[in-house]
Amino acid sequence: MPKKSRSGLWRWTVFATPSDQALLVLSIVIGVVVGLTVVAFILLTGRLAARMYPAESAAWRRLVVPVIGSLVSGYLLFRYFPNARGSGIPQTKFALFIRDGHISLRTVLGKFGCCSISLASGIALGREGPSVQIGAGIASVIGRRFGLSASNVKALVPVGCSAALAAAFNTPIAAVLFSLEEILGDFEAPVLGSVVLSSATSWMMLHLILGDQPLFHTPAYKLVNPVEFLVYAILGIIGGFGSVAFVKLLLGLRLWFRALPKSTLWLQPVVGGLAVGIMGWFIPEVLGVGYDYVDRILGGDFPMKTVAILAVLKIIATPVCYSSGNAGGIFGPALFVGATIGGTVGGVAHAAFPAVTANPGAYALVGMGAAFAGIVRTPMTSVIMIFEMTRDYTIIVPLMIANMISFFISQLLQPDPIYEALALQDGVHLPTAGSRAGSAGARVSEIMDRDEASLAGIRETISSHAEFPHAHPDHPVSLVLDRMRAEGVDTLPVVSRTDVYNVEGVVTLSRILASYGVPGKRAPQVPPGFSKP
Amino acid sequence: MMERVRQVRTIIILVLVIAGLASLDQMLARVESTEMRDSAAHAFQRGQELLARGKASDAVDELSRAHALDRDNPEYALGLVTGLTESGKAGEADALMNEILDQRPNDGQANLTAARLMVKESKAAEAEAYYHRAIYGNWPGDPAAPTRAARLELVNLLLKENARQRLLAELISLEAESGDDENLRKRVAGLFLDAGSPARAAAVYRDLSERRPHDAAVFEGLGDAQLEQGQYRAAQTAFSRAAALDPNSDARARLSLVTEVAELDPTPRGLTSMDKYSRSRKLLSLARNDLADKSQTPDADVRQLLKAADDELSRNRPGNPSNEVSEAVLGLAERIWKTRLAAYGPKMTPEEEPLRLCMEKLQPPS
Repeated sequence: MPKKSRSGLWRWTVFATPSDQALLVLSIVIGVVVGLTVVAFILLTGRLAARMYPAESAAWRRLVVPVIGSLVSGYLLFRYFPNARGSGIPQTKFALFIRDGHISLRTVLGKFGCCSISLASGIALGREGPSVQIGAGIASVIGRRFGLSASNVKALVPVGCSAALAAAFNTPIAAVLFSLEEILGDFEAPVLGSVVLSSATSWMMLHLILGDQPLFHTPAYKLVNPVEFLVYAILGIIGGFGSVAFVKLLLGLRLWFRALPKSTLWLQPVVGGLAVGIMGWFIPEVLGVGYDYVDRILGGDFPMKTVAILAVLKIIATPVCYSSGNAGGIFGPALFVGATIGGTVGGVAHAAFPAVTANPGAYALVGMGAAFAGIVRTPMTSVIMIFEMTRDYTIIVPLMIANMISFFISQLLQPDPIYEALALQDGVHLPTAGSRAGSAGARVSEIMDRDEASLAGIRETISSHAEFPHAHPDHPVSLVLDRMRAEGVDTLPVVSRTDVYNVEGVVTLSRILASYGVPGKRAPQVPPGFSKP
Repeated sequence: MMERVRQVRTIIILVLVIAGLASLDQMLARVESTEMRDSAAHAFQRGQELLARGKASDAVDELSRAHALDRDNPEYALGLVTGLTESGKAGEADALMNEILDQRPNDGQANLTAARLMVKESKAAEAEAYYHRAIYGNWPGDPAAPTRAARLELVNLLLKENARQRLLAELISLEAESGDDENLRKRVAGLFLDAGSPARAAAVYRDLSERRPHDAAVFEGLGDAQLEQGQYRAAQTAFSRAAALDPNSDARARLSLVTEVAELDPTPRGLTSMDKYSRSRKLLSLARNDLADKSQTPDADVRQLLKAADDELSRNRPGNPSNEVSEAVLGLAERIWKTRLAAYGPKMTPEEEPLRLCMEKLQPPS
């Protein structure tokens, strides 16, 4: 009897067959490890940056340090840690949807090291995206080390993400929302409990080490006059256009860099380092994450002209740094750009109508949310994040107005959200919110035809097409039916998410109908230009 | 079995990783905290220096930086409020001040800074309230010195506001708090004099003169207090002592003033009726000339008063004029003096000082 009891306890403890309780315990462990790691990351990059380019350092230092930093991190990324390049959010989504939640320890270490070097040397990128990948990676490594199944490891990835973001932004609720809204695309995900638990645990770690200080300090917000809502709406419009400019420039530059010879890959980050170094020579505030300056813009003690210049420079610097292959995220820069746009709009409004408008700091705050909603395209997360960062409830209504306007403008002018667009550039088709919405029922992989003889002709045909209607193996059958109806076809090639030219099978209407128990009668209609299987 | 060993090893590694990360975080947090505190201290010092040099807007940059780097330090927050106040950014100073007071409503230093901000914004009533909260608020260490300093500032405000009753109330408290601090008592005595309470001033000076028999300033102050009280003989003695102790002091000038006033004073006992009449005429003449000099285009009332004075002064009264005659002359002089005060205020030139002292003795100010 005692032996049996120990065995039961053992099984529970070591997660050989993890129960829900075991996953919750593991979520707490992940929260602790990720929280402590992210705090170390924040402190390390901050302290290194203070040594690399101190506030009163010579101008040449502000030019040389980013160049050397990008050179070193660029080589390390090229030679040892190719998966640690970029923000970390798309990579985390790749891992979640394509690699069953697998992120290697090497990638985690590479991300930590390379981002520390690049952010500490003044590269104009953020630390939150990398933190998310580090957090997801830690969760993945821990899950695998405990011998969890692939589906359980996959379930831990958003747990690590929320823990990372809670510590990086000091926003536990927004971290949960982000994991559900952006990473999973599902507010009713079954891992909700674990995500909340890890976020709270990680946030507690942050508070234990760094105390109870919000990320940004803002003077108490007050609506001076209802006319201000109009100004906030205008801020939403400008923030939306600014966001679109930021995203389009980033995507365009990235395409350009990708077209360069592969042999230059290790050297490309230097372009970002040089660009930001030149800007930093004249305007030091453009370097690095820049949260100190955001704090001052929110306080309203920055000259409006400088704030406006910073808005333009940051919209250029971050895309150049990111697209040239430096390691770092775009969350922080998005907030910086938003604060500068908001500060400028608020400054103009306050100068023109001082009696009916608040201090520019209030507009900078709303601008942060508007840019975040426009660039990252997570409006719910954005509202809650700004609220949590500032702990000022009264800002919520103007924030929602500006966020929604910015979000819709961004959606209108840049239909693909930035992370999906980045993935598409890499030839990866991440599942969109729409495709994930109809996830119930049978999957394409369960009913598709894998007959090699049938596939050969399709492979040959699609190789000559840049775009063609298709389905992915993880698509629900209902989605494929919608797509067939929209395209007016009865047959769709089933292609890999990582390579659309890799045809894994073919799905026909008759097979779908058969899966529903309806016998097919008509001859299949293939897309134009395709031979019948 | 191998699986179990692997999992136990994983748990041990995790515990070690957590311990290592916690230690690393603590170390980095300590480094950050130390560096930020140092940077904040430097920025604050630079800000204070700039503030002292009158470069308030440059000082605000440094003080903002100090506050941003170390938000838990109330000294930096209050320094920034002072900087913002000095640079004319009263709105921002107000907002920050409210934030500080929300967090530390009973903090003496915070309330003192708020009081200064209100003084700068010419909100005397609010300033007075904040001064009181500062005086009765919490101070680190021994509160006696900062409390006294705050009360002194309040006294200066009340003096400027000419709020005599409240000023006297504060001075009485200040005198009680001054204990053996002779310098403070000396200052309090001077303030009693400024507040129009020469009797209290004389009492404090008298006490000080016993403790500091070689302090010329104390005797000079005592002389002034006695002069204000109309005790000219005692004042002469005090001024003589002060002049002897410090020949370079103003005591000699004050001595000649008191001599002049004593010779004008029509009230001493034992004065002959002729002397009283003669001094009364002198006072009337001085009051008349003073009003005539001040009013270039006199109105009807003033013209009537001046004519009455001229008539009285031109009148030749043979023999010994009675006490009633002298009182009538003094009454006219008093009416002229009242008109002069009502029309031109209490501000006096040094030449008017003997006249003022005599008139105030005859007709003490309310």
